[in-house]
Amino acid sequence: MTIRYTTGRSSGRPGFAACRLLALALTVALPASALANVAKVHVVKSAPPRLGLPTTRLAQVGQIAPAPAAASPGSPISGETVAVFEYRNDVKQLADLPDRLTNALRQNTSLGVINLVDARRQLGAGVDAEVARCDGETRCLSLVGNRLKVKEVLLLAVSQLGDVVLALQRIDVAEQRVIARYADSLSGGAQVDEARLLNWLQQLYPPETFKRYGQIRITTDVSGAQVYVNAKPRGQTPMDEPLSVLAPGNYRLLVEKDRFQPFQASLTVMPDTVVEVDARMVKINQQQPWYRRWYVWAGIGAGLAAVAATGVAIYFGTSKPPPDMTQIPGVIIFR
Amino acid sequence: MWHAVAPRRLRLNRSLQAASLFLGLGMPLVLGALATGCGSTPSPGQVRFTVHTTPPPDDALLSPLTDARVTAIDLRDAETDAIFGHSRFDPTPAGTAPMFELPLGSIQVQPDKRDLRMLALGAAGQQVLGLALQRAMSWPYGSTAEITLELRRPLFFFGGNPQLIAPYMPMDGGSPAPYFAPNQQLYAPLRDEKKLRVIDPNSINPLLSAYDQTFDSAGGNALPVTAAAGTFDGQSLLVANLSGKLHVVDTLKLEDQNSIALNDTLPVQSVVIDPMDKTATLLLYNKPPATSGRVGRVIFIRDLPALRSRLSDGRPLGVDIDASVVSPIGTPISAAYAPDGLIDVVVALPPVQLRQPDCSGLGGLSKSVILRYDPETGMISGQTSLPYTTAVAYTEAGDQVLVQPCTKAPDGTRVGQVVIHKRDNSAADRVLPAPGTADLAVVGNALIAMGSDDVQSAQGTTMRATVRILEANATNWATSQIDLPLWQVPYQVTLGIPHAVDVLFAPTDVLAYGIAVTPDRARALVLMRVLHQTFPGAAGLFLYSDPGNNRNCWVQWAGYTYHVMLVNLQSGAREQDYIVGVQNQSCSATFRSNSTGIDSGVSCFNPCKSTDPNPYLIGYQDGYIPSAPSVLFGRR
Repeated sequence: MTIRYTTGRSSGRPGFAACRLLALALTVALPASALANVAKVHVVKSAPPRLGLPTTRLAQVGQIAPAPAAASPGSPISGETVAVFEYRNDVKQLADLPDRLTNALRQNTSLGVINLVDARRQLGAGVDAEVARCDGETRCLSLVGNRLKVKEVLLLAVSQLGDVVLALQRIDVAEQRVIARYADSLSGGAQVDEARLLNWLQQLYPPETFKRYGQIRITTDVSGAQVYVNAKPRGQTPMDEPLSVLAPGNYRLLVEKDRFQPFQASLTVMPDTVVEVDARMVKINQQQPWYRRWYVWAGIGAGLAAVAATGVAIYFGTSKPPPDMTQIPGVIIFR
Repeated sequence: MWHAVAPRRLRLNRSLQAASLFLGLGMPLVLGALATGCGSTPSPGQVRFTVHTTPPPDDALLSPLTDARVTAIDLRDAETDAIFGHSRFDPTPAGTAPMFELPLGSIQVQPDKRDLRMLALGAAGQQVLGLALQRAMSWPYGSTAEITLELRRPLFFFGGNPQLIAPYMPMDGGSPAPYFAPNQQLYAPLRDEKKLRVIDPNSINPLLSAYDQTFDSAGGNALPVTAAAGTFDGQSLLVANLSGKLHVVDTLKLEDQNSIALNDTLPVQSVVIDPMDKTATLLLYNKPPATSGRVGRVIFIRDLPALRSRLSDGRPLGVDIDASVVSPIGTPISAAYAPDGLIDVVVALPPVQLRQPDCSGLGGLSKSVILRYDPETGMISGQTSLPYTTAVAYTEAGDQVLVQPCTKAPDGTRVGQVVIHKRDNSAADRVLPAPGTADLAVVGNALIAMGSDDVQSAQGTTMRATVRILEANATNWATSQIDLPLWQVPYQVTLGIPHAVDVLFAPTDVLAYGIAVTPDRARALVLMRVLHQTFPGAAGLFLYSDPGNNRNCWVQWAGYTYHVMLVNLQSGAREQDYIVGVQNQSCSATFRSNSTGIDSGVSCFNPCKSTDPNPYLIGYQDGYIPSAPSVLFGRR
């Protein structure tokens, strides 16, 4: 059996070191009969196909190692993808806020995110002027979002009335309306830390948005084996697609098939990573005892059926009228 | 040869194995089946409802089971009111723990989970003297079900506010002059503004003073309770006071059980509990409200069961309301849980401030906004701009009810209306006149409100309070009018030798700003502000004549009295009316010409003279503004 731990982070990011450590700490629990098949744990740097991961991001990580589902920056963006636009009213402060907001979305949510740079790649340099002309108007921004094929636009409006006033709006592109808004004000010169950025996003997006995912890719040498993750059936081998699971999280994997030793593993899955499990199934080779043979149980079944039929016949031949099962005695006890 | 024999031996073995299994497993089954068919019927099981209530020595006032008026016990479906069981009941004397069983006979099995309500009934089954609610209970056939019910009286509560401080009292021999006694109408047993008051609506002596609560009173520094709400299961009361804490009071013996610090400089002014008792929402703002910066805060207690059971702090989540992001600027003054689990928060100017609500400025559209929050995430999912709105509520059918005290209904005379918005938009909004109403209560699908008479203001009109009940199937209010007391304002009319005169100011307007109703809709606790004033623009009260200068001295006066009123909703009659606060708005006394009637602008009466260093009738106030009307078993 082989378990390979795959990460979507680049080696230049802190996550890579963490993944290495994690891979070393990865716990694998196997039944005694399968221990002989434990081969090795691999750490492989390659981009995972991530649920809801923006294609632009896939392309970035794809520079390190090509991802199976990676798309070029210019390819269509679909699904839960958000474009982050800024509408600024002659305010110089907090110029880096859109980029930090984009990063916060990417790091903390399962949303695909494109910013103005990504938008330029798709629609050309004129998109800046196009967004500016919208003047913060919902319908106009929705049209830009529609061309980018995103589901929503996140508009960051920055104005100044003594304090710097920030207004965040989620715009549904299809419905061309604002579906959530949040505003905050900052006194002059105040900085925004990451916790505050995250708090803004948590006010705007439902908790599901902040769920992150990892994947378990299972390969076996037999087909038709049932795969369970945390006791829930997740399909049969061969599995073409990896299983997406909430991350970080610990999962118990079970692969079983008749006449084979069941395969079990305890896995820790981190966000944006793929744990690859190669489950080698060991055939049970011993002679079956008599009680495992089908015709023995067929005989027993037939005997029981006959007994049950006799019992039923005797019951209905001798039983009293059925009791009233709509009423039961009740009592109130005062303590 | 060998190959020919071996299969036969194997077949023989298999036959023997099958036969032995048949005998070993089959025979007991046959005998079992026979025993089942021929024996006695299976046991139907039993359902045992164990009732807990206040033990001695507190049972005399708090336990419904010691109330001699209780004649029957009902078990009902909390949603449909269908009766599961009914029994006669003979109360036990106070001081003796009830330890007995009351057979209910056969009751209908309930295989599906239902919310169960127990009622301790008196007066031919009409008066609900005790209640219990237990959620998601079932008692299927053939099993023994044990169901515990916590029985409580449906008590009312109300709180206070900081003391209104009288600016100056004339002295007589070192003591306040007794002939002024301007606070003589304040009800003495309710003078302490720091206490959370307990009221038994079904008692001839409703004030349960022995159980009045003070909180955070270490060092004698108790602070007034400003918000409270009872849970829908009747077992807890959430109380917030000016110390910035939220307390959980166990209603078994009315004991402070748990508290959390909210760590906020804004005080809690309202507590709203979700009808399933899973979450609560706190509304925070200052009085008078701020008009810039952080004007309010909404705190969602996301795990109320954990807070009540002291497992955690309830996972509070706070959301600030900033003046720069709400339009119009306002504070979170009312909230209600919508049928979808989200919560509507009304952001508007609080109505109970001096000279508020000023409908000359608050009339028209876009004077308040409803923000709809997800109480789990604090996320705003929608907002609705409205005319000036002071309360929101939902009926059992899910219709939204709005109280708009500065908008005149099409068939109303005075400003003030209630709007009912159908949940399914199946009909146009219903608009009913409701002048003088800033809050209402919903019981099932019935609306209960109190306010003023819908009559034109005139110089000779004495305003009455009006009870309004809208039954679920009715097209208009059922109303009942209540006379209000005059405000007795005594003052000295001579200097030197003291002579005093009592002046009585008639009520001219009413604002019912808080209401709680018992679950059986029998009684209401109403917090009411009554305006007493000389008619605007008229001369006012004649005080004395100055014939030498051909002029008379006239007094103009305006002020509020604050009432806590207990109203019988079956008869529409007032049962108790406690005045707990008085607050003068304005006082002026000027000479008017006898011949032309023109106001000279010359002040004539010292206590009203703004230049007097001790103008004791200007800004005169005493007592407190009552707050936090609440009831056990919930308020929608």
